[in-house]
Amino acid sequence: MCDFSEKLIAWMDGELPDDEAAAVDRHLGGCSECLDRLETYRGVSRALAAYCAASMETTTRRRWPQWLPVLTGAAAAAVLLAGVFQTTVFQPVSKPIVVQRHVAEASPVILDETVQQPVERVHRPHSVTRHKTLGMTRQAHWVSAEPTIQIAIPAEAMFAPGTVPEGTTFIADLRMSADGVWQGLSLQQ
Amino acid sequence: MSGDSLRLPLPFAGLASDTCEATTLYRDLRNPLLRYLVCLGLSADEAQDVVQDAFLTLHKHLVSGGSQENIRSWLFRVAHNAARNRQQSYDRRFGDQLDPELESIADEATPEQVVLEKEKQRRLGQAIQLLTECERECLLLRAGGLRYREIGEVLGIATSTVADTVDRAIRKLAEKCNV
Repeated sequence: MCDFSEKLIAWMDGELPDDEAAAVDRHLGGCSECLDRLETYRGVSRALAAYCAASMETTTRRRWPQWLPVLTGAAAAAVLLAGVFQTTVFQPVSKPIVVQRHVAEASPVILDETVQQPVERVHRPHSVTRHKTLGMTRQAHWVSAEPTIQIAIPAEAMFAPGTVPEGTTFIADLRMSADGVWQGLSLQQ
Repeated sequence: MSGDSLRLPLPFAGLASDTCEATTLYRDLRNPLLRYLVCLGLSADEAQDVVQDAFLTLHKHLVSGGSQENIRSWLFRVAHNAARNRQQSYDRRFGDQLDPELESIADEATPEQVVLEKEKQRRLGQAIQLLTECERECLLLRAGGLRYREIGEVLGIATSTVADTVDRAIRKLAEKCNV
């Protein structure tokens, strides 16, 4: 067996240091045995990838209807975003919180001055009462008395093109009690 | 009410920025994670549960200020350990041979080609069963797109060990499958 045969798979995976990879490159230029082995190893890798993909497709098709992964993904993303919101909104802050009214167009709401978000945040217009519980003394900045958040999640923000019909947007309706405990989550299209 | 913008210190802010990165992670890694877990032997439901738990754990990890390096191997490690815990809880041995249906074969394949491809898959499945647990896991993680260093982080072994294990496993499959 050729001395370079033990390095072929690592070379194929791009895991060799540059100098060793260069040595294998030069060797492959003149060793038919190693070229044959390399082709065999590539075939095994392709077959394994196909086997895994087929197993995944078979297992999930047997269990899940086609639309379920889409809604499950949307629900999981909504829960993830809700968790983000829960851990941040109800923390005491030293500076006033201001709120952007819902804007009809689909442009993303700027949640951070340096970052743009792919989701559109909708706040229902409720009276200003919670600022007292946060220990704030200044008025004219909104905190919801009935924290109900709707988060619009464009499907294309989460899924590959073609997975869901174009223009689909999921609305996650998140309801919280006054003490910040999530009461419910509903997902609608 | 004023019309000013809402500013929130999002916990994902440091992850190259924002929740866009979180949804990108979910979109990019959900299927590779599911595929790895299904090929390990979990059912579809179990795999889905493990993946969702892994992403919720990721959220808690980031909120608590956990390291944001190597998130991909971190997620796979969490999912891998969860799968192992289920194996121990249910006293099951993973690695039962899967029986993938060959719908990926092109419609224009001849019956002979379908039979040959099915036979190749069957031999490959049997060969995978004969691998050691570590060899099988290394190959499945490699098929999921992880680098050797990341595979080592998931399985808790040295990168050089991963290289040797992958090499040995591929040779075994090549020998048994005559690919």
